[in-house]
Formats: sequence, structure tokens, C-alpha cells
Amino acid sequence: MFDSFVLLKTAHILLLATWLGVDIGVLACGWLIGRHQSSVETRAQFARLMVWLGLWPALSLVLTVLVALALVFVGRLGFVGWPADTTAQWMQWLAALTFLWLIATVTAFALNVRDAGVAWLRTCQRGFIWFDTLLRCAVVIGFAWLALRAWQDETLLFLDYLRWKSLIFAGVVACGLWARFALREFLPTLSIIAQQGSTEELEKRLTRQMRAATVPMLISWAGLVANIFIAVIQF
Amino acid sequence: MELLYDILKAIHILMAVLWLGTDIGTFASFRRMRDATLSVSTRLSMSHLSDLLDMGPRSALVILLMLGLYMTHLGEFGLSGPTGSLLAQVSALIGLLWLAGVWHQYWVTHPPAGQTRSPAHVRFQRAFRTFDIYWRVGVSLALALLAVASLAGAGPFRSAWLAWKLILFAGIVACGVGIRIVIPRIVACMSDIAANGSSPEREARLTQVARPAQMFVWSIWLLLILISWLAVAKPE
Repeated sequence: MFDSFVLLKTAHILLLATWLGVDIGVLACGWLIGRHQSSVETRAQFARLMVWLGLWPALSLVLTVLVALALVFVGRLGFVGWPADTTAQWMQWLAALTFLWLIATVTAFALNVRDAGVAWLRTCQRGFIWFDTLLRCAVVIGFAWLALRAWQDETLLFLDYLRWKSLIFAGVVACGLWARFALREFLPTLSIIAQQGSTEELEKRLTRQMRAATVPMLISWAGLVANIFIAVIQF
Repeated sequence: MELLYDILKAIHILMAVLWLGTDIGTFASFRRMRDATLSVSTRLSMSHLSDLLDMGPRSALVILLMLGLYMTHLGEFGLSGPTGSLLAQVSALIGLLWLAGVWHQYWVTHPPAGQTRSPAHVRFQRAFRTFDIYWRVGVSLALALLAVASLAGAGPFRSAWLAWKLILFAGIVACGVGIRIVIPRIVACMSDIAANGSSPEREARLTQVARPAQMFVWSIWLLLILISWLAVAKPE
């Protein structure tokens, strides 16, 4: 009843809620920021809300990596080709890295809220974005490799549906990177509007960026939904 | 039949995910609506976002209940035989009508700027709102009673974990009733602030009436987490 597999599986489902469910709020805020009829204050508040809500999917991603791999390990659904001690040690390292990543994500968010105008804070934020992007790339490559390799070496992941889930998860994280890239000038553009006033060109730029980010966001949602179906149907 | 059950189960999980997730967005925008340092127009915009995101939990509650009852029949956890089948189908039909009413409510209360809905729609919604509250009280009581009877061995549900899930779900529906009772007071306080401007007294009144709503929302989250655990653990 309270065994680790059950608790991890429950956490896995709840993390989907804080990822996919909250992401809907992030997207809604993004589009509301683009409404030029709203006042600068209203748009700035939507931006703050968007950043705050965006923290949830970011933290969920980090935790999902750990929880998903821990589920495979605890449920003996894979990783049996290696000695159990070695795998357990790897899981401990992964837990430590996850903890670091979580701390860094929350700290970067807190610094972002405090003041973006201070030089050393900006350097910290830039550093974090690089750190976070690199780790996300590693997740994409790692999970895609795990899926593709498991089709050759069954001991990595026993079940076919888990390989598909792993591959789709890699795609979902890649879509997140794509959306981040598309939105890289979104908030700076809003800052320019707040400082210099709205122009048709700036508003168009804002809409264009949001539209470009919506595509990968919708694809990533489709991926997460597909993973729910795959996990239940277990074809 | 097994595939249909699995598909419904996946949608069931998806609805729970949408519920909890969009509720976090609803709650966050609701808190910003209460921020007295912001202009009234910004606070009203936050209120509109909160209402929009709230359609996630509102829809999910109805869909989850419909799917849950149908899955109980399909998975042979209860509601067995032709009567059970009929009951599951009737509840699905009622659920669809309920869902339509909930969305109609949103459509009537959120017309595009400068427009209003026809008096017939507004009248219907006033009646529906009252009906909806009594209906939820009835659903909550019925679920709790049937689940308790099932735990005692005299109800329509065979599994203890399912009976417990329904008791917790009845708690969620009851919290939803509480929120529905509080919402008109919050709307009245916000309308007062929008019409007459912010003042410490008006803000204090808003905070006071919003506090029970927060308690209900936190209770719903806790109950949803417990339900998720029960659904995975299935303790007998």
C-alpha cells in the first residue's frame, strides 16, 4: 500500500498535473500578454504570472526524469543488465543532480522576480539558462538513447511500451527547448513596449513569437497525452 | 471491451491531470485578482483569466464522475448486470447535459466586451445556478451514502478502495458547493471595488469572503492527491 513503487507511480501522475495542466495557464497568459488593448501594467502582471506558472512545468520535468527512472529501477522494468549495486549508485547520483537542478531552477526564478536590472543577477540568470539548457539536452539525448538502445538490448527496458514512452518523453523535452528558443525575445520585447510604448512592429513581433512557441507547446502536450494512453493501454 | 476500458481510464487520468493543473493556474490568477496594489482593470483581467482556467476543474469534475461510473460497470467493480449498465448510460447522458449547462453558464457570464447575452439565456442561467447547487448537494450525498453502504456490504460497489474514492470524491463535490456559495460574495466585493475604488475596508471584506474559498480549494487538492494514491494503490 505504501511501497515505493505505488508512491512513485502516484507522484508520476501528479507531476503530469503540475506539468501539462499548469502549462495551459502558461499558454493562456502568453496570449493575454499579446493583447495590445490591455494596459502595460496588466500585460506585465500576466508576464509575471506566466513566469510563476512556468516554474511548475520546469520543476515537474526535472522530477519526472528521476521519478520515471526510479520507477523502472524499483519496479524491475529494466536496468537489469547491470549489477544492482551499480544501478542503485547511479540512482543516488541522479537524485543528487536532480536536487541541484531543482535548487538552481527555484533560485533562478527567485532572482528573476527580485530584479533583472542588476548586472550580477543577469550573469547568474544567463549561467542558469545555459546550465538548464545543457541538462535538458542531456535528457533528450539520454531518453532517446535509452529507447533506441532498449530495442536492441532488452535488459535496459523490458517492455515495448516503456521504450515508446521514453522516446516520446525525449521529444516532449525537445519541444520544450524549441518553445524556449521561440520565446527567447518575448519578455524583452514586452519590456521595450513597457518602456518605449507600443508600436505596430513590436506588437507583431510579440504575436509572431507567441505563435512560434504555441506549435511546440501543443506538440509537447500531444506527447504527454500520448504517453498517458501508452502507459494505460501498454500495447 | 478491455480496450474501451483502457481508453476511458486514460481519459480519466487526463481529466484528473487537467483538473489539478488548471486549478493551480486558477488559484494563482485569483490571488493576483485580490492584490490591492494593482489597478482595478488589471485585477478584473486576472479575474477573467481565473474564470477561464476554472473551466478546467469544472468540466473535469463532471467528466470524471461520468467516466468513473461507466468504468465501474465496465471493469466489474460494481453496477453490474443490465440495471448497472442502464444506470451507467443514464449517468453519462445526465453528465453530458450537466456539462453543457456548466459551459453555458460560462458563455452567459462572459460575453465579449460591450455585449450582453439575451434575457432568456440569463434567466435560464439564474435557474440553472440554483439547480446546480442543489444537484451537487444531492450527488455528493448520494455518492457518500452509496459508498458507505458498499463498505458495509450492502451497496453497489464491490471494491473497498473504490468506495473510499467515492467518499473522497463526494467531499470534493461538497467543497465545490462551498465555492459556489462563496463566489457571488467575491464577485459582489470585486464589483464594489470596481465601481467605488479600492479602500482598506473593501479590501478587508474581499479578503474575508475569499478565505473560505481558499480553504475549499486546498481541501480539493488534498482530496485529489489522496484519490490518485488510492487509484494507484487499490488497497482492499
